[in-house]
Amino acid sequence: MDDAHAYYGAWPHTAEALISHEQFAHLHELGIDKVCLCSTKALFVNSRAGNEELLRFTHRHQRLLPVLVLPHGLEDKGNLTEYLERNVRLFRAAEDWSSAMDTRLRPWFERLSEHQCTVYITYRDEIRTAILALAKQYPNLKILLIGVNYPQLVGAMNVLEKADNTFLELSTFQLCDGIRFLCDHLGPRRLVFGTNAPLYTPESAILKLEKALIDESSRRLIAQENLRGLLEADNDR
Amino acid sequence: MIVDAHAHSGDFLGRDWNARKLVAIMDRYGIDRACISSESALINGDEDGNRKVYREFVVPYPTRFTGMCVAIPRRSALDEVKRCADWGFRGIKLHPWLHQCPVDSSYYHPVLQWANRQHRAVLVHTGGTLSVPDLRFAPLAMLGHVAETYPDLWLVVGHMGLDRWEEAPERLAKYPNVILDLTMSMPHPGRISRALDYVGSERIVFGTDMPLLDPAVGLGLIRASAVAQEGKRKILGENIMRLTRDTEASNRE
Repeated sequence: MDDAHAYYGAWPHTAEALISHEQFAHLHELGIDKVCLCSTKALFVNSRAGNEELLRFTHRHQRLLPVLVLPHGLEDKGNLTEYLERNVRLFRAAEDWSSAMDTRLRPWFERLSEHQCTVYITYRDEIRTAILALAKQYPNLKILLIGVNYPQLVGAMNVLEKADNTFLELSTFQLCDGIRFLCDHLGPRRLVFGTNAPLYTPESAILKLEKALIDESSRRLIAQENLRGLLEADNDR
Repeated sequence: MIVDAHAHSGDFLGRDWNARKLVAIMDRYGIDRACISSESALINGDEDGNRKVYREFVVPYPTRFTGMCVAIPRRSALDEVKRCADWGFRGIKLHPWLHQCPVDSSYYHPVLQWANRQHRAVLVHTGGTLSVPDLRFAPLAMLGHVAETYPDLWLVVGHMGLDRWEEAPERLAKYPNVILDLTMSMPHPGRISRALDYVGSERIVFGTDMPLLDPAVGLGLIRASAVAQEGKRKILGENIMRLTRDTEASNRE
């Protein structure tokens, strides 16, 4: 299986930081092949510095894939062309992306859409309409919703049902028998496995998928094939 | 043996969970028994929910479900708790946040006094919900006060203090009748070791919150934990069985 959602760096809480290849070996021991990593420094402190640090780290290990954070501030132009040339396909919107949508981020989303890249967005009910608008405006952009648990289920389902280019990452979705519920209502092709490590223990996410009452082809799609699809859609360009 | 110290009956998010469906989930995860309280009594304040748990869960599946009586903070709460005890319920569930009543309120006082005399386990929800953090109704200091006032009941701190889970073990360790319930939807890796450091494996219980949450959350946390096998056995079932056996003995008195 592949992990679509893990972090490089320290969290301010008790979770141990993931910063070395040895620490990622534990995820591989659990049966996880590729791990998609977002830098906590890029997310919380400085997007450009954190992204660069992450790129240097993942460059040395083919099983680790970078998820780069879109710029926080107007003065930060980022380096999208270089990122795309380096074959980065996964990006993450900062928490305030929706308020900046009409100004600094529009050129980014246009480029990301041209390249059929995937953008991770933390779902909140307050930005449901903004996510839908983004999905409609850029139909080639793929949007991976993260941070969805049972309180957000109704709103997130509304987005997923209305926009085919939206997907759901499962590490925070803890509803009992929830994976089967989502497969029944959305189909398995829109669901992506993730761990949220090191903030969450990966064993919980693995067990949740192992025990889900779904057929094996659906389990394979969720565990790996859907993420590979998000990564490889741009190969023909 | 795996015993879930924190489960519910009822309809969550429009999905009706009857006893047969819940047993199927338990079987899938190897859970032998679940301590179950009524969702409708918790959310709607419907005392008939306790009766439904008795009729539809405890009676048809006596080896799979242990009844936990939801005490709704009304003047009739103690009568309801005694009625449930006559049906064989082994513990009490309080939800100060849903019922908007502080756990040290006079409405709960007769129930806690009775539980103290009977050495009952009292599972108390802490905090608000995931989307609405709210510490007004069962903050750690108030829980400590309740534990001290009623030293002969087992105060099972639901969700280990929820968003105060890092503080709860240290703040509550000095009360020997406090038990920490691991149930939560966020499987933070440090959770079990934090509890072990302060209260030891004898005072920690495993719970799922099913059918709201998937049992994988809590079981994965324990699977990943470095706690020794003996400690895991206690956390996974022996501790909550011990607490309910105590009350079984007191039933006979």
